[in-house]
Amino acid sequence: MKERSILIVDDDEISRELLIRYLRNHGLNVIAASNGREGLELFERNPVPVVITDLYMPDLDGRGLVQGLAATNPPPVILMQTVEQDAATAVEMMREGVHDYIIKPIRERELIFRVDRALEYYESQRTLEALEQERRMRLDRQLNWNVWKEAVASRDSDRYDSSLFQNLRVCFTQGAGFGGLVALAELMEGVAQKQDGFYMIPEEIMTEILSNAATARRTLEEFRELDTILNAEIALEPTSFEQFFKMQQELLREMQALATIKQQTIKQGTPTPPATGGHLLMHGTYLQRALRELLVNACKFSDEKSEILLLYKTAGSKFLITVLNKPGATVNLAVPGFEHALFEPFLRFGSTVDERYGTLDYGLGLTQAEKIVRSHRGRLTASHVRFHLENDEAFRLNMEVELPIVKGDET
Amino acid sequence: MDDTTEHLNNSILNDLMQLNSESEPRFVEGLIDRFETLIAEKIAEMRVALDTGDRDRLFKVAHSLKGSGANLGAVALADICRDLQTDSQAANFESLGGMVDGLEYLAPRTLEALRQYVRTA
Repeated sequence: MKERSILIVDDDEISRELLIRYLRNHGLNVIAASNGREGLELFERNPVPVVITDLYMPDLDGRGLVQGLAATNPPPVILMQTVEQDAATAVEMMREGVHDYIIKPIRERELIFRVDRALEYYESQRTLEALEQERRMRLDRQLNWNVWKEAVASRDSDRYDSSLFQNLRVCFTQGAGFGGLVALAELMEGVAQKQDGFYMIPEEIMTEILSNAATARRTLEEFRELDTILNAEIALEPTSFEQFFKMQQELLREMQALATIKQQTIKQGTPTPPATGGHLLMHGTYLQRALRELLVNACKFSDEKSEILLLYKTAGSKFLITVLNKPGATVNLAVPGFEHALFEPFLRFGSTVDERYGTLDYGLGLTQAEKIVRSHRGRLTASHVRFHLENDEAFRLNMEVELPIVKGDET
Repeated sequence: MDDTTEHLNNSILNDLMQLNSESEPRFVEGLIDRFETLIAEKIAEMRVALDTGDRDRLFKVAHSLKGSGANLGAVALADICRDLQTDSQAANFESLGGMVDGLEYLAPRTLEALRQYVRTA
């Protein structure tokens, strides 16, 4: 399968030639056929992610071609050419498996936009399929970690964590806090000069004190928020999927700046709400914080120029949000099969703090994210995934947020 | 319809002209040459469809020529093809001969307008 290849099926040689030229100019590989039968045979010999077809053609028409392509595995994403007056037919064809349509006369910008979108859709669909296959394989294997998970689940982790965080906060504010204060006081005493009833201290020391105070404030704020998440009832609001996806767009916009640090790309799957309707119950700020944490980690612990995927899927009464990345070779992640350990407090992926991401790096981020998702009556799981279909030996880290879909007036 | 500027959509043609490259400076002219051959073939095929009362064939030929014309910015020609395609399913099949005559009249004028545009672009 050539990843950026397009098959054009059109009996009109002028249209075919134009499509070929526009797409090749955009760096895509293009193959072409002049009717549906020839197109289907060509696809079987050279499967491609996207097929652009006309509707009326001799031998096998567009409808027949769509049916034939739908029976292939994996099926391509199909774009249908149409003229404005035939838009109703195009919509009808979408019910039969056509993904999108391109209006004639073909305009370059419009064509490229729709083809790029179709390629992204194909890629996200393949990733979801690979995840599904991986999930099935994992269940089949009956990994030993179930035993360990049971042991972890049997302890009252919230109470344990609550006490742990409380003790830690005391240490920070009373132990380490006093320690830091003493060290700074001694430093100032050594360099300060007394003049007219005032102490003069070097600007660098003052800057250092203010910077430490700012970090201390953020730390205390983070602990206060953890307290709320662990001990207070978080008010969940009914939120439509439209609102949720809008929030995701804002989050993605914010994340693009972090992705540029390592020239990474964050790709979002098609935001598709559940076909059966319903909404989410959520606390917008907290849930976004949890999702942000997953994306920041994905950026932080993946290689330069790598790709991070954010995908959505409905599975029965659950809505799944997946963050998938390929961790860099130097990142020491939890042992495959024991991924749940990622949510243990103070587990850190790297030995050094990367200041470019503006995070505190106490190793509490994922713990916090997991608590937030649980307070949404959901589940956050981590798993290692290998894309066996693609013969790619490197594993991906798959962080999956599972949220209940709420119907009608349920709360 | 004698005003050739009404035959064309300049915005589409302007996009097309960007496809001429250093390695293929006559790409668009080549397309117009092929369009000329195609029109002749399709009009002949339409005549056969009319003579044999083959509505389905007329529908498909008109659809095909409509797509080529629209993509080359030949909007007036594409409009006649659209009407032919729609009316091919109507009861008064014989009256469609007049529309094919109109297409035959418009074709050389459209081709000339296209070539004129390319020359002056």
